Amino acid sequence: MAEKPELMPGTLDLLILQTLKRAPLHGYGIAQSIKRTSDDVLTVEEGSLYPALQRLLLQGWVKAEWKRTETNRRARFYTLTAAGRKQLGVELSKFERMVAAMGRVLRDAEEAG
Amino acid sequence: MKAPGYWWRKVKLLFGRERFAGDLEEEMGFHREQMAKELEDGGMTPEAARSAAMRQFGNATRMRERSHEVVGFRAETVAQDLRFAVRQLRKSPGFAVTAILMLALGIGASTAIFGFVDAALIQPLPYAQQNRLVDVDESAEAFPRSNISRDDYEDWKRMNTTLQSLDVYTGSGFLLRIGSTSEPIPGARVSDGFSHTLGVQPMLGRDFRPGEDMPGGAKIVMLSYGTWMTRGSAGGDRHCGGARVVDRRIRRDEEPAVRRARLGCIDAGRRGGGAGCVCATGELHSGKASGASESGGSVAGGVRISAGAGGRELQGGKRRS
Repeated sequence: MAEKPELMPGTLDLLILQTLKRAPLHGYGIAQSIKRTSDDVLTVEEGSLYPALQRLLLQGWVKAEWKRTETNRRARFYTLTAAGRKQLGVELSKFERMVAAMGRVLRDAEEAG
Repeated sequence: MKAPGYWWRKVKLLFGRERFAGDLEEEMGFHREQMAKELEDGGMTPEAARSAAMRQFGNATRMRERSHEVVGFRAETVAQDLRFAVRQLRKSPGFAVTAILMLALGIGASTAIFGFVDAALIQPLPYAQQNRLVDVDESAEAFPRSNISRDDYEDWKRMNTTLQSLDVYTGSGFLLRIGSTSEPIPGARVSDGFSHTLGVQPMLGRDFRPGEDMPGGAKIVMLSYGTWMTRGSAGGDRHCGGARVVDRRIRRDEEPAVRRARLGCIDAGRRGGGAGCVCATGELHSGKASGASESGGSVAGGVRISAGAGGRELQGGKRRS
């Protein structure tokens, strides 16, 4: 089995916020959504997901509510707040800047080599 | 960067710990169930699916802890560690007692050593111009800091040009008898100008007069402040606080007769070292022929010009400060 690439450090918050932008989801739903959307490339470890959610709650970027799922199970749904939406923009531009910069470095190295 | 409201939410969670733990537990349980259901849909038996989900989910306790770390304060983990430490110590009392004893001994020893070093080396001597006091010794190859004889002392004193004053002392102990009780107390035999050289004056009574240290003279005692307070003021007849101590008869050592002694109290004795100390004069070499070979004690001198000049001219002289 090919080893899955590890999540880049600092990107988990960004992924969670982006996932919640579409619709409120519970923890399991967030993990599933990231996995599915990334074609099984990115896996969110449960061990990092829940601490990250607590962190986002404390920062006030998401809020949590107990609701019923379609199968009538009680689950804790996370919703993006206005502050979270703003933070998502900040994180996104930070990430894009970094990717662009990395791209430049890698291209440069390629050309030189 | 902490977003606004971060600390407020954190404090709120501090008082809702049980609810927080319950929510987290239920939430993670739900997660596990969903995983098991997914595996079941993939064709596993419910039993196998559940245990596979458990495995995949990992260490739930560790996960709970990590979430608690996020919302918890550092002080909480410190308190937890302390409680754990106390439990561990209670579980092995032998180790606990040994550890506590070693700590106690270590701290006690360090404190005692520091107390000594502080008094001997760090605190200045309790005398006026203590930086100009020097300790002068005879110096011989075999005995670099030896005592001097009375005759040498008298010669030094006569020929002295560098020191403002030069006096001699020797450590000793006496049996002090006040009323009907006797007790051994540390003391020093000194020459008549001793307190003058140190720059201290009796609080009560008088200082030794010039010539009172000659052999055969009256034996006069000066009590330190500490001795005066503890031994002197303890009730009834022995009360010698105030003026009553002056002109009191005391018996010292194995003197054959009760002598009349004049008492004074050295103020400087208040500063620690003088407790339980008696200064006596008139007794240097008492009852013995004073000869050049006799040891008379150490010499304390006060430098007149400057400590540097005194130190150079007095070979082997040692500064006390």
